[in-house]
Amino acid sequence: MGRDPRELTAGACLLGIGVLALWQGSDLELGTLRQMGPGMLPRVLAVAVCLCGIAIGGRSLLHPARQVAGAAAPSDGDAPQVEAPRSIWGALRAPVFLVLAATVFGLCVRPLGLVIASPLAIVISTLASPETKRLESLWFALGMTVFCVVLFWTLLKLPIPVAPWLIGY
Amino acid sequence: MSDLVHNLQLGFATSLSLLNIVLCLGGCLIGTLIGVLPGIGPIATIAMLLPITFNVDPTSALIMLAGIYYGAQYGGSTTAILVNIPGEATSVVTVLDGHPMARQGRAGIALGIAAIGSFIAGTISTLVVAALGVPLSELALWFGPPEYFSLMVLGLTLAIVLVQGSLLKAGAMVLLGLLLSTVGADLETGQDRLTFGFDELSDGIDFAVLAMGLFGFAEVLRNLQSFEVQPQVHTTIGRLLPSRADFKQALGPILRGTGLGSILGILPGNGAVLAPFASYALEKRLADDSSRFGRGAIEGVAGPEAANNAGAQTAFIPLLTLGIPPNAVMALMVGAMTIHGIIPGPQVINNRPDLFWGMVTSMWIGNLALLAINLPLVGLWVRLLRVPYRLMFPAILIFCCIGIYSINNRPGDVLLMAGFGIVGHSLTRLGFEPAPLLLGFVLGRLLEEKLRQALVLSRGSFLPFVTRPVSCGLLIVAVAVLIIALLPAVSKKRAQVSLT
Repeated sequence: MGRDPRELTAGACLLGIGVLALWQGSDLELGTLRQMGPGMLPRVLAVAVCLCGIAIGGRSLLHPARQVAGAAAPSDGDAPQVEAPRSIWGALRAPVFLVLAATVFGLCVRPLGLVIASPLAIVISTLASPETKRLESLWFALGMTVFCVVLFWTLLKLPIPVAPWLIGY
Repeated sequence: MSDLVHNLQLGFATSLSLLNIVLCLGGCLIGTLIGVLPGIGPIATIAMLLPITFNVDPTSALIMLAGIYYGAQYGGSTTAILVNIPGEATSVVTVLDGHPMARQGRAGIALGIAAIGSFIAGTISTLVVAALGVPLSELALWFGPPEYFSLMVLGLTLAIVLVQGSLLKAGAMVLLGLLLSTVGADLETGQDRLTFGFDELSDGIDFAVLAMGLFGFAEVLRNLQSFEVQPQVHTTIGRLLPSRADFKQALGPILRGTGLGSILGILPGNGAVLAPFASYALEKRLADDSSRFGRGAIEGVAGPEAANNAGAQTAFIPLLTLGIPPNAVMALMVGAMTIHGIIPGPQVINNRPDLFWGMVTSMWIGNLALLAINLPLVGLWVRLLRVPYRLMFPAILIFCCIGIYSINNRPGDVLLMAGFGIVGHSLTRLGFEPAPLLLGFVLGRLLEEKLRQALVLSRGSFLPFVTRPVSCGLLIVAVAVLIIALLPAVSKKRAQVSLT
């Protein structure tokens, strides 16, 4: 009786999200059908999501040997099957560094501007891939920063701080 | 008929302005570029370029974004033919006969017929869009709140059914998207809903943040974790123009593909992706010698390519006439329109005829441009395939970050996007499709508004949803579609079709 752990996790996640939404929305007015309050649709949807979660998790317990249709298929026709990475670190490397890169960018862009935040974020993000070459990444980061400043600030005039410590904006 | 001519005149006047031509060309070029490169797709790109379009007027913005979308169809076939890797999900079928043709030294002919077929399909389907636009939107003026609600239910049902994989999971994604759309201040009372106390969420989850996170960020994550091998291009291109005999052979498939694509593209739920498959199957069945297929039959390239381009054009019909996005890319367009203050729906044709007709005519201009520039630029695209992914993904990441930050100048948005990226990646790993989530999110507010209006008008009764004929009809179709998809024979077929 082998359970499909992925399906079970999927169902559990959905259930968790639904419960979270129910808890957050518990103090909202439901109103009546004639005059729907703010809480009615969120609650209905949250309950529905919970039910889906229970159904998916329950289904995995009841039909252990069945291959769920399309469960192993990639979601884009052009990307090959996702391989199971060799280790936990292998699996976490990309998300950790990408999130770190985005976080650093978010925190640095206002005080330090694009000229600092960009290369920092780029260098950190290159660590997400095992194929990175250090010197190449540095040059690429610098080049990319110049390109971004020209494109986004000079050409497109987006309101992003470029170097507040240097030129005041 | 003279109305149509007059409208087309207005359209060309709008789309032939310098700015719009530049944006159309730019969009087509960017679209071809990302279509060629396997690591990134039109959804992620359009999501990334949304913030840039804020500074221009909505017509110009949509022209550029549309160019990216159908440009990507052209680009995807280039990689499919030359490298045996489909650049886009819709080019999966082109690989089957396109690459064998390349191996036989006929790569140029394959590319040529793909481009010509796509252009013919684009022209015809643009006319379809123009012809159907006004009648459909007039039909929609009969729509009251219950009809809108039922139409959106149908759209979401089709989205669930036409996406690959488990119906239950796709349904869960739609519901989750709807749930996410309720985050923020309630329309009528102004009360904060589901915001967990964060003030930033009072305005709701920013559409661009969700889109970029779910599709841009998550896509990068997914590619990094699948260890793709760098594509090798090792075939010569040869002559670009097909011979007369080739063209004669290809004409039938092109026209049939156009028809299939035009119809399927209108269907909500990403029908446009099915079009090339349907065309390939049809051509194989109609051919005298079907054993040629898979070995370099020109019909196997001409038909599907025409079909996917026609589908890409007609996918704009439900968007521009009814305000219902048939797939995730159109959902992004809805987001773009809303950000510019345009409420999508049948009133768009009447209130902003320049938008509708400008877009329709620019689609044709775009197709023309793509035909003219793509073939000479093939060498450039081939060279770009050699850029290693380890350089591409930091560029994508930084574009995402800068783009998101530029919307609201809030560092929190960048973090939220990263969060959604993780969510999107986890969803894929758990076997969920993110596209229905985006569709649910985009339609959520409108769905709730129409539901509330309908219930107020009917004094709390659900009866009008089934007693009013149009609404009833739409709901019946939705239920029928669900039942059909649940039949064992059909569900096996769905599992076999391997596409987006």
